[in-house]
Amino acid sequence: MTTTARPPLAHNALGRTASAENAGLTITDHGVTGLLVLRVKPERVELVKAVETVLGVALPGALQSATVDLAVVRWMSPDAWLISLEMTERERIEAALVQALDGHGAVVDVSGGYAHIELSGPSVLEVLKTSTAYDVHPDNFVPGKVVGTTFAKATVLLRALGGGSCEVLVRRSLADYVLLWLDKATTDVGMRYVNNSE
Amino acid sequence: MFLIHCPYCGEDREEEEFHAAGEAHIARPLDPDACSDEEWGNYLYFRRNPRGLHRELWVHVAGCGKYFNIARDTASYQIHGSYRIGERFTWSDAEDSAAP
Repeated sequence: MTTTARPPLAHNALGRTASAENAGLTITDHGVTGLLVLRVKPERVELVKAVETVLGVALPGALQSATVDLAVVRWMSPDAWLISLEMTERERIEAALVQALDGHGAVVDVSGGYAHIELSGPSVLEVLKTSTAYDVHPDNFVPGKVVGTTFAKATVLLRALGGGSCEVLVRRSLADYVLLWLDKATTDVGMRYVNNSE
Repeated sequence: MFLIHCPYCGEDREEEEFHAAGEAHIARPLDPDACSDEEWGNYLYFRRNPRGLHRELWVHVAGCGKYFNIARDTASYQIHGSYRIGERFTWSDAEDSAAP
């Protein structure tokens, strides 16, 4: 199934994109990605095993994420994980997870409920420092680490990527606010917006 | 601003990520129908408000979303420990005489 859903930040591409080749911050908008929230009690070992068979990867522990070809699995809470995958795969995987859980857990499709953006460029660290209360020093915020924290006045899920980049998942209703915040936060270093959702 | 240890995330995080949710360890009466109005009212509305050692319920709203307990001093703001729901916390010997 193909989707025609409008990315949460689509309207912001208009006129807001700094052309600067040397922009300090590049915001890559991944548009609407498939997102599933999986809830299962970790002590139910047989259910966790069944889920891991479907995903092809072990459910990551606290503040960790796991990446496979199919999906990225992020730890949200001791009994909740956020799985991102291709929109075309999500219905198949959702059905498989529901079957694996056998009624003793939950899978909720939250695709379209979040804006999925990636921050990269030389000024990412500085921008993050002005935006979040979390300790984003590379010694602490190592690639693959996932934290739920505050970002300006919004609540986001941050994931450290390699090379100093950072992924931000923010609720759709707050996405516009976060983009405006980033626009302000980068007045002196320059910001570039790249729509990667097509 | 101060740091709070979330026992589920296993990290010290900024206070901004948390919300206080009142007194901890409030037991619901096992048989509400058998309660007097006064007992039920006390359970619903009346809370301790000590100056000093206190056990509180907090929630890591911006992080893992889990409720947990904090044992802290309401006068000095010193946090003596944070622990998961279902666990107990005992003060050190010196503090024990002052604790509830």
